[in-house]
Amino acid sequence: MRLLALKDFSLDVSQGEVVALIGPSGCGKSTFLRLVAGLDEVQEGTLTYDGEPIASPDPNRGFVFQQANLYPWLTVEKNVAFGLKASKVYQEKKGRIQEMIDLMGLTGFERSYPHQISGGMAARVAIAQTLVMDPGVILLDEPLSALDAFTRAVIQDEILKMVERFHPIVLLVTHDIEEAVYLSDRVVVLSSRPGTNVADIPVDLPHPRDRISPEFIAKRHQVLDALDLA
Amino acid sequence: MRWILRKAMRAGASVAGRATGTQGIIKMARLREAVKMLVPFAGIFVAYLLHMFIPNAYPQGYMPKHWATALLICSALWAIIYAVSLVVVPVRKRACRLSWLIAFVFLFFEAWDIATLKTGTLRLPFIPSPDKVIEQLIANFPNIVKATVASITLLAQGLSIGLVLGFLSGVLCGCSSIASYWVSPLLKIVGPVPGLVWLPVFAIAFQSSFAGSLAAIVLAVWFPMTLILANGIKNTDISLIERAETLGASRAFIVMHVMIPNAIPALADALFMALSGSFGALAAAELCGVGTGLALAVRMMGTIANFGVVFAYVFAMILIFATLTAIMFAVRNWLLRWQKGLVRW
Repeated sequence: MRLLALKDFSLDVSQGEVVALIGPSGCGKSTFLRLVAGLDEVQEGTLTYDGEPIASPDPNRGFVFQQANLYPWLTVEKNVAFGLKASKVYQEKKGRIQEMIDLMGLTGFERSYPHQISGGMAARVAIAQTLVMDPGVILLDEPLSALDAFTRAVIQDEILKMVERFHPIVLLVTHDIEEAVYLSDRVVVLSSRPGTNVADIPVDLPHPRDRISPEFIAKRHQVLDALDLA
Repeated sequence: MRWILRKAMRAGASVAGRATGTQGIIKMARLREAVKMLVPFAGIFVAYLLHMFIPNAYPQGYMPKHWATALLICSALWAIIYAVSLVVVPVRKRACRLSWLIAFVFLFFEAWDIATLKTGTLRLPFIPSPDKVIEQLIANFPNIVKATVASITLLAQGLSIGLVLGFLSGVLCGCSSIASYWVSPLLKIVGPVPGLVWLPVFAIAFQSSFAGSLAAIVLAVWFPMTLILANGIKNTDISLIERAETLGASRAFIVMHVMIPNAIPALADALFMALSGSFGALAAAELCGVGTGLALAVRMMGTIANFGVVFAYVFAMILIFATLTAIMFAVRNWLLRWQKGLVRW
């Protein structure tokens, strides 16, 4: 059986932009991320990065999965280093490992194994594992959905710090409207399957954003209204 | 304000620690360990007393020579371990854990001594007393060493060839569906048949009973290794593989750094199965094929009813197999060190 996940879907993202994809479950958001990552093949249509068609996974397009799913036999430090070794750039870039560990607030846990750290920390390690590659595109597939509200807010700020520093393209799939408005420059709303973009809402609030300011809440309403239409 | 409070609390805690609290607890624990270390001495002492003061009854006129000496040597050995354990912490931990068990072992042998030599409840020729077994062990020492060396040589060759082959074919079958297609029928047909059955076939095929015996052991090791390792590799979570792909890993890198590490818990099980399979195949090979080794000696001595030496050979065999199993568990613990605290050991 073939399932049509996305139809008439188009999106243009420029470097340094944070785009949140939001929509009902099963609308093809995650499929789109997998296509961008090169894990699945595009059946019809085109998908390009820097003018090159996307055909296979590339360390320049980092993917942070929904479940942290770290390598349980590697310590935190070695989990972060995994991509550098896989891409054979360990010698040149090993300085970044500690940098990412510090950036994601994991200092002191370098030698812990994944089962010894909390879910929130595992999510940070997963993000650090992707960031260490210095990717031009970062794909976030609900990486914070399993976390408690407090940890999520902390990691959201860490993601913003990272964006400010490295200016990657960030595609964020989320179910959380507040998260979408808090993090992104644009919120793209998808319809239910097969997914089509029904709204593209720019979020032009300055960082750091105040989650309870009237402007922020107005944006949330705007996204919610668009979702109702979808 | 809060800073001052915290500092004061920390100072208070450390003062309390220096006084009686922790120090006292540590002293108590050390004392308890020291007492526990004495338990084997008590076991040996009780065994010694029983052996010395119960008169010998069966067979009439038999004068035990070795058992009392053996007990004294054992207590001297334990005294050495005791001395070492005062300095080396891991030795102390292990010795403490085993102390009751060791004491029990001596009491068990003394019970055996009572049942045979002292009362004649278990009669000769089938069950000799511990003293008789030691006597035979000493009398036949060169032969036992020869048989042991023969057994270990055959086993070591069979195990190492089987483990290497099994590892390679297991990885190959786990990673490649083509390899799996061609190897799995072989696995299903050849694998479950015991080595004993293959032995004559291999002996004819290889034109040599040694090569045939070796092949039977290799098969007994190769089969569980391939089967369990291939399954362990096939069961790798797809998300771990996809993550490696997005991080730029090649296929070979994924096999080496994701699939094989993921299969290591399975590999530990496979090692255990392979080892026990190899012992069975070794015994079968010695009885039917190569004409040397411990299993053959046990059977030959059994047929001429020299049961003292049978027990001596059996002890040699237990020693080899138990040592190999202990090594295997050490390897497993080292391979799975990252699981500590994740699963119950």
